[in-house]
Amino acid sequence: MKKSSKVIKKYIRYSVYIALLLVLINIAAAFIGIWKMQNELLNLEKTAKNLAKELSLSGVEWKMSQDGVKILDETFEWGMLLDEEGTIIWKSNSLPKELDKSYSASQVAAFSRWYLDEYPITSWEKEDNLLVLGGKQNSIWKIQMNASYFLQKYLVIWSVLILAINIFIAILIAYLLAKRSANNIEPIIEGILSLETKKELKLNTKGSLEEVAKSLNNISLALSENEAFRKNWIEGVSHDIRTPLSIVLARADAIEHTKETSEDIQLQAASIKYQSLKIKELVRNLNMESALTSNENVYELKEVNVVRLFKEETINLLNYSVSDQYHINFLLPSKAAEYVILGNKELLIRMFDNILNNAIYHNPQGCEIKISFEKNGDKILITISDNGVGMSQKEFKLLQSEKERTNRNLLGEKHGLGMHIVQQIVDIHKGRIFYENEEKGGLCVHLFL
Amino acid sequence: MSQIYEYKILLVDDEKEIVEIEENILRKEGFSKVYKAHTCEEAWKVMQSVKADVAILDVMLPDGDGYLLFQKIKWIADIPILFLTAKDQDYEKLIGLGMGADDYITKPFMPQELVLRIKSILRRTYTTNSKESEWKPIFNLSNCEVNLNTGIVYNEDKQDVLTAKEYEILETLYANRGRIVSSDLICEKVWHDNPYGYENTLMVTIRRLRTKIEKDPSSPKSLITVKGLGYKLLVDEDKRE
Repeated sequence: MKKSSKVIKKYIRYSVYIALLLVLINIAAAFIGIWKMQNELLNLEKTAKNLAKELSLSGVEWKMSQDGVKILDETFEWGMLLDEEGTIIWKSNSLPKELDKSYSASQVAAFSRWYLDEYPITSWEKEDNLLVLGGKQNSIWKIQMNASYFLQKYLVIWSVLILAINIFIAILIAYLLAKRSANNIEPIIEGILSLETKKELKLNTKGSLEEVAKSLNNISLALSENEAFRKNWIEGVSHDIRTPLSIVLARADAIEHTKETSEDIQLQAASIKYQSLKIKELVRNLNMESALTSNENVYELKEVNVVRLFKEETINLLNYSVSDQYHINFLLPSKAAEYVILGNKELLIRMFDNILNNAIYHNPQGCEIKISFEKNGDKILITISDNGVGMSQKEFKLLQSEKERTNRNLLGEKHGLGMHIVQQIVDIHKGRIFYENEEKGGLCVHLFL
Repeated sequence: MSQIYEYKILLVDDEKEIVEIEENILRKEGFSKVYKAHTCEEAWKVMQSVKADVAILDVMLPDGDGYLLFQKIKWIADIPILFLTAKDQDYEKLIGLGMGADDYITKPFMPQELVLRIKSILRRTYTTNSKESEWKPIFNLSNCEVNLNTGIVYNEDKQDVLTAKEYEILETLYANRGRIVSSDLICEKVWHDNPYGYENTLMVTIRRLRTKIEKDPSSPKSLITVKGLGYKLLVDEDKRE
């Protein structure tokens, strides 16, 4: 729902913007229109006023100056001056014949602000007379407005209210539309997001996005099948390889420890054993990698005392698998009981084994491995260092790229899977890991958990 | 039964070569009574005719899984059982979640590991669990002979009686002789409690114990401290088992 409510919010925000923009445009257009029209009317009146000035009485006859005639022709069709009785005392040449008559007071009152024979009229008082100007037919729309004071009073409030209703309707429509499309899109979005987990997806394939939903379902099916196949394949292969590997290991060990075999053959048997052990670790790591990358496994984190856990594992390794040329110096911290983190025992042991194995495989001639612990607040620093050959620049780069996740295809590389898994386990525990070469030689691994 | 090599071992695995290898490893080590089976049915028959003292089971068998066989064997005889598994994820199933397996080994295994684990399981079951069994071991250390029946340490010129705690420590170490035993484990066994808080008491008790079993307690030859981890008892195996 989170994702779609985001979509809805966005929709609504944009529709509000659009509604507001429309309202603004409307208001602006209305203002501009009214202003322009008003201006035009004002201009007419102004012209009428000016024309009135151009009229002058010469003797008993009224006359319009040349400029006046010019202006009149430009703006109006015709013009006439009526005296108090409604008799024409001056007229332009263009005055239509049918209008050339005298007018009663009631007629004057009727047309003065209205139409005369479909000519819109503009009038202006000239002394006691009335200058009547006929505009071009159909040029001006005159309406009579009789409004109560009530309307005038509430006009502003009404306009505001109507605007508000407009905005509200715009938002409502936007919301409903957004909600509708979100309802359609939501399962699709969630489907896409859940593709990452590689679990099989079952979207409802009805509705407007039917095709998309169908194809998502198919993709997820293919992905989950692929994932299951990969997992089973790795599990199967690693399971099946173990029995023959046991036989190889045991046979090589038997050859190595048979007194009659020559030293050369013993060495070769030892080499077979050593390489078989490497395959064993590889298989374990491959399995672990598969388990870690499949999202089905959610690792439960419980309180673990890492000192105790690694101590037991060190003892286990010393008792059963690490040969005598490796000396492990376990520096037990004081207050060991306090070294508790939230972790997964199985994963932590795997991580610890892999770090130790890394030291062991890099130093086949043997070395001393030192394990120490420090506590700072609730952070624990575990340092595992050896006095062996250390790491080459190239290997450093590999580990670094492992940390930065820039290179995921490390399977064939020397540090490859083992340290890759270490990194993944460190990540699961939200810890950090650093590597450095010791000055005296050897590798030092700092582990913050 | 004083001789650890006298115990009867049942090996069950559908892979014949694995069984053969296990047998070779164990016979070479000195175990003489080794019985083999490749299916649940065969294993069941062997169990009924020869009551084995310990069994090594494969988890996957052609006619059923090892877990079922495990339950059946445990039902008729309370013997220690060690699983041989080809999966890493079996720990929880076998030990953690109370299946009650005594130990497990993941394939591929080193021959030495098989031997060590079998011996360890036998000693744990048949020698330390000695409240029930009458006989308790007598063994030689570099400087003395220890008789766990009487709790007496015989030196060249003197005899010392072990205190209860010293006795329990020595018994625990002897059951795991040649291997490191964590100080936590010793504390748990001896004080039946959270191991923290007993470290100093353990150190003091070990120091006292050394005055009884070592010629020179400040440079011990039998009861070795493995710094940071625990202790290890070195026994002269050749003289007596």
